[in-house]
Amino acid sequence: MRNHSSIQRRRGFTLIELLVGMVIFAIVGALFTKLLTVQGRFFDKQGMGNAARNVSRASLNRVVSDFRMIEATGGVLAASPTSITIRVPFALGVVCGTNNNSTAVSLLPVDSVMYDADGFYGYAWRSATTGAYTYVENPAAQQKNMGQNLCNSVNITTLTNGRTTRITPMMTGSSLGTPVFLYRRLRYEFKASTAVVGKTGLYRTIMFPDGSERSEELVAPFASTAKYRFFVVGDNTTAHDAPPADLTQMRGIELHLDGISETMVPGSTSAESAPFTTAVFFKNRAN
Amino acid sequence: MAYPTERRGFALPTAMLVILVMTILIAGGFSLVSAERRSVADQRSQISAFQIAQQGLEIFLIRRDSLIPNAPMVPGAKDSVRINFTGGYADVSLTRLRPVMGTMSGLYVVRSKGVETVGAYAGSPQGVRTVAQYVLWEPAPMQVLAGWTALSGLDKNGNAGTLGGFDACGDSAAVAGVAVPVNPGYTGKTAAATGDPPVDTVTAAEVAIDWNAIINQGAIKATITIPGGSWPSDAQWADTTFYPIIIVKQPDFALPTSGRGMLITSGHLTLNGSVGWKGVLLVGGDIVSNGNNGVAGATISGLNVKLGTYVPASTANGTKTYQYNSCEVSKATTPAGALVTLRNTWVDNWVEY
Repeated sequence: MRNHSSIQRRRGFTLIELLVGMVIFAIVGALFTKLLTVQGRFFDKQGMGNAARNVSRASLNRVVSDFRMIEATGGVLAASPTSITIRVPFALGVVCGTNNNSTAVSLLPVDSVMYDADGFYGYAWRSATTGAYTYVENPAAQQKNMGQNLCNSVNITTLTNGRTTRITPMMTGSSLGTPVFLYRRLRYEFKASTAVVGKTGLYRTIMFPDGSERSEELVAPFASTAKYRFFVVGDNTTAHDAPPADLTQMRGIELHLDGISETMVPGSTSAESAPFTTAVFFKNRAN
Repeated sequence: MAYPTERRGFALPTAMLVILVMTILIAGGFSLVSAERRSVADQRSQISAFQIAQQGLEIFLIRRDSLIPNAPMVPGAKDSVRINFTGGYADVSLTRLRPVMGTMSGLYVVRSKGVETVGAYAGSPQGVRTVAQYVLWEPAPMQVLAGWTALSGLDKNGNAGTLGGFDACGDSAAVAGVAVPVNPGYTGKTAAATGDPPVDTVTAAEVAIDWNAIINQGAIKATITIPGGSWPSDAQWADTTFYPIIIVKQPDFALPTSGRGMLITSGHLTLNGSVGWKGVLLVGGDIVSNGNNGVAGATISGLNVKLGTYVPASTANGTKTYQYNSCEVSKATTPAGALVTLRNTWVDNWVEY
């Protein structure tokens, strides 16, 4: 009974036990808090790094698909380190013939969304002797899904998912089988973002023959280092900061798509960045 | 026994909480890294697929003959082949948009669909890209100096017939009626020769035909090789679009029937009776032409002179018509042509549904 009473009376901690417990708890708690903080910041840093890289990637996919088909000698209309205005082919075909003051063309298969989007600006046809293109615009018009009979009559096969179209003004100087492409005028430029205020965004602007424009901000934010550099024919493989005076000498573009995160990691003094450089060389060129 | 049950500590819940929090953090980090790696892999896959597609396109244009065994020399309505690469393959197809028509080359489009087969994450589609290019089937270029170019000389007996250099097709400028070296030159009657000039002089070196490559190195792929192969049947000749390349490697050969195409003989050739030829005759030895026959196209005899071999002068007896005809030359050289890329007609937005 005596022993039992003794155990019954031990219902609390001694002061020493309590103090030791508090010290241990404080140490463990501090370590745990530190761990959480470090892990949280690491997580934020990784997340923002991903976001920055996604800015670079998203812009890359869109820009490259438009840039790669640029025709070298007439495809670039204006260029600077932050802005480039280009003629972007969206459908390539061959001439079937001309009548009724228009030219019938059989086109290769092309995505319907890309084909039907606004912005037809003109066409260009290829010289059989030089391989260079002659551009026709202002005015130029396209009548979709026309010209099939003429193409059939001259034994031009229109492929599955291909299309025929009529274009005006009538193509002079071309003949049966002359390659021709339809194009849009686009401007890609880095300028102040509206989506992420205070940062730089990449804009894609469709230019219409009547002078109007429709602009969309593709992605943001970019670092101030985002820019274009330029490759020139007959030069070495180094890109130049300034475009050549004669834009027909340009053969490719170096893209600096340096994405950054929208916010900063707590405790950091700058946004996370994803420096990204790639190049697009024009595949369509006569020389 | 009551003592242990009353020891209420917090070590276990604390440890569990720490493990839980750590697990959540690690899972989050892993998710981030995984998403990043997947994005990078997708991007890399797209680039690889593009590279494979472009490689497939270029290799097909250079090596179509070896990639598609027994393919017709002039591509038909469609050819297709799969080219395997490390890490993927390219499905390449050649589709005819317009056949050869007269002197117009055949128009084709080559499409190459590149597929990357390695590196894709589970659940991610394979990287696929398609590129395409217009190409022409261009007949082999042939230099025509005269209706009959005789590098070992030519002897014409009788005034009858025509050795003509004016293009019977009307497409090309006139050439000489006969072209021969100064020695042994052209002998016999000259009245039959017409052209610009009727008779011209030429040296063996001026005839831009690599005869050694043709006769000894297989530079031209034959439709029929004799001996070994058989002369085409009447049924085959009945097809007026049949323009074979026939290579005869024997010392003497007599033309069995009239025909068309490109006839290449290493030795002596005899044309008797009324048998004639439409297209091109490339003859290593001399030609003896008897009777009422002739060639519409272009004839070159004595080509073995270019190999340093003595060749007797060719002989044209009777009523001969050896008339330059650029259309027949074009038809005869078409099978020996090649796919020629139309520069500046490359696309990478070919839609695949």
